Amino acid sequence: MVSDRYSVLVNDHEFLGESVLDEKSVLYFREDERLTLKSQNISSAMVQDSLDGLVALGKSKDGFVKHALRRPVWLKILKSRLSIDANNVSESEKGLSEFVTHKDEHQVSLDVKRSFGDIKDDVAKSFLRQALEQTITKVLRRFPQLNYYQGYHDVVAVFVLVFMHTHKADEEAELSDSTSGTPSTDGSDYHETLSSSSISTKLADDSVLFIDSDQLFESVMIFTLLYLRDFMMSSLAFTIDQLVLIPLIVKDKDPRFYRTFQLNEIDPFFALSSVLTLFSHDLRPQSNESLSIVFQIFDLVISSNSMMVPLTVYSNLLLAKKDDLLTRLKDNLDNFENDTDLIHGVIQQEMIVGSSVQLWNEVLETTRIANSSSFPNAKKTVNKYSVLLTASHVPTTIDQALSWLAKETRLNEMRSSLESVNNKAKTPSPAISRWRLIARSAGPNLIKMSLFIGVAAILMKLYLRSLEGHQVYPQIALKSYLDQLKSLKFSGLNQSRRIWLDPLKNLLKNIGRPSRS
Amino acid sequence: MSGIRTISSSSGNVKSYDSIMKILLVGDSGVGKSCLLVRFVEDKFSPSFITTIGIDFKIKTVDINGKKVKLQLWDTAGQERFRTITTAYYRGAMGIILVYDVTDERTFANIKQWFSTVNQHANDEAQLLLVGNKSDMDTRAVSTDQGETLAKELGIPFVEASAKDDTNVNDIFFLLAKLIQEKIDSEKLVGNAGRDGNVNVGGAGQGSKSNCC
Repeated sequence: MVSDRYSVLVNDHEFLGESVLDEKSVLYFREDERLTLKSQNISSAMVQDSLDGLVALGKSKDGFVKHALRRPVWLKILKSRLSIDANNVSESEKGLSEFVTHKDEHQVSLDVKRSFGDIKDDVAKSFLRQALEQTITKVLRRFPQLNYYQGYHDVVAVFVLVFMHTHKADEEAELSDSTSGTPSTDGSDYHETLSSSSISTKLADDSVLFIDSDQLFESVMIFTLLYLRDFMMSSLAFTIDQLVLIPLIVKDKDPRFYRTFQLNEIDPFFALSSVLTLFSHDLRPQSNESLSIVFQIFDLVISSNSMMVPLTVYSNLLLAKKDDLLTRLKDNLDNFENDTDLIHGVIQQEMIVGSSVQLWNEVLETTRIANSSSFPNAKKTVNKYSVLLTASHVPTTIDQALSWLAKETRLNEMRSSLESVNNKAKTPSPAISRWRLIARSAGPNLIKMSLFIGVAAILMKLYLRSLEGHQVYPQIALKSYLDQLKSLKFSGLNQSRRIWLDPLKNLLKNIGRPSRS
Repeated sequence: MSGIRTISSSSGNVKSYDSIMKILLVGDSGVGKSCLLVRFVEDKFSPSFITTIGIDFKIKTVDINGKKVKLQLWDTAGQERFRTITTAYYRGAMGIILVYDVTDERTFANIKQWFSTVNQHANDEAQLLLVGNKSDMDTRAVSTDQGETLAKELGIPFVEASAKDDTNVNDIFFLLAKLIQEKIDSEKLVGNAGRDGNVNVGGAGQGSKSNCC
């Protein structure tokens, strides 16, 4: 029988083994019953092959409860979302790709060395690190178009912990006899067989650690292609697009808090590490209990098929800690010289230092109840092929996912070149790209509306002039109009919204008249 | 812009310090920026300290010439892709520590790149300091002489340190704080650290960074 010694370490049910004479034991007992019942339900949903059932269970309290259940359930759900066509990549191609080093591997090894620092046993630690590095490297070599980011290792580390299991030496015979997919009599465990792709290591106490590296790789690969693409572009632009949704969600729910914290003015970079790592970076240094929150967040992302989850969780956490944040803000007013630093400092300190497990559970519950798998504003903010929008086209194929990735990569490159053009203020840029930049800068609708009115007015004027007979050839009018457009100075547009009115007025006055130059 | 600041009127807390200094740590990934900080702030060392993602900060109050100085320490991610974000926090930094790893030549070679990034984004008045970390290691690839030569070339002070065996770690921060304090005293830099949140950003600063050492 598979024992979950290490998942006991990282799950929040460690207390079950403690004294039942404790005054809280009755509560624990109920908790125990509830979890046992849920485990049984998950196991039978697995046996009945009920994806809907599994998804519903993952979205409810406690998620998939424990790693012994998470392993098969995550894999099953993920595989149902993205079909990996074995014929898609020929064996020779696969073999080749695994020998071509990815440009980011040096960074990967730097980060792997700093992973699993809280695992006490040195043998276990180096085993986990090895599995982590192998998995990341395999994904990067298979899909060299992905860019590794610091924090991806934290995400993969969560998968490594889930896919690792231990058993004692004397249980080996029983383990190899167990059949996959059979719920045990008490329903609390889910039996697994070891496949040829298992890697293992023996600890000092003769217990053995196992990881099925193929299953681990498959899960991580699907999760990456479906949910992490935005983060793995060559720049952070699409990541920041996602972060920007946090203030918008907060604004919807509590405009006053939004204003007090100037979330309209300040870039939400404070949420970067939480979102990039689905909270696995920030919650790790805390107790084992809080670590289980991370697994439940992953449960929720996987079962609801939505990367809105981390953004919603972050927003809900902000709102749940509103009063504390406000107090901290007042206390720190003199400690920071500018508002960006102040807001970042206050939120970062409060969010991570002062979040109890109870509060986290409440936040998760709020997120689950709200069923926030989509957010209407997302469409306006993120790119067309963002993981936030493509989720509605899932289940899909690996070809489709790779095509999304390719399109996103192209959009990201375009964006980067536009931004570098914009940064080089001295070199004149084509008027068209400035228009695009302005339109894309996600400014308030007011700007977009005035843009629209402006363009409509120009066209109207143009049309009227041609009727008046000032211009014989509309092409010439168009040309002079474009010339005037190009000569306009738009550089001030991003600084102040009011500058808008003047160039337009001037433009409208002269539009359709022959260019003086 | 004063929306946040206006709510302070009711709080009226008494300041527990004489001045505040914003200090930033930059340098390649894995050179030990976070380790130096943790050693200084919490006096501990963990060989497998976690990665910094984006930007992180800590506060420590120190005593400089009888004055209580609150050091606001901002730790940055080393990976190139985070640079667009981290440079946003250079604003208003009074001290910037450029860190390399004495066992890794590549991190030393990249210091010039960091120096120019700092010049581009930080205040002209910011005091810089070059630090070679991991001086305890016997797999050294960059000599102390090389470090000193580079520091002279850049016109900034230089310290070799080890977060692991706690060599010179406090010295880094005290030296920097003293240099900043001297600058404040001599150049009347104080006005810049105003409370209005609109700190002057010396964006195009190309001039020489430092006239000390």
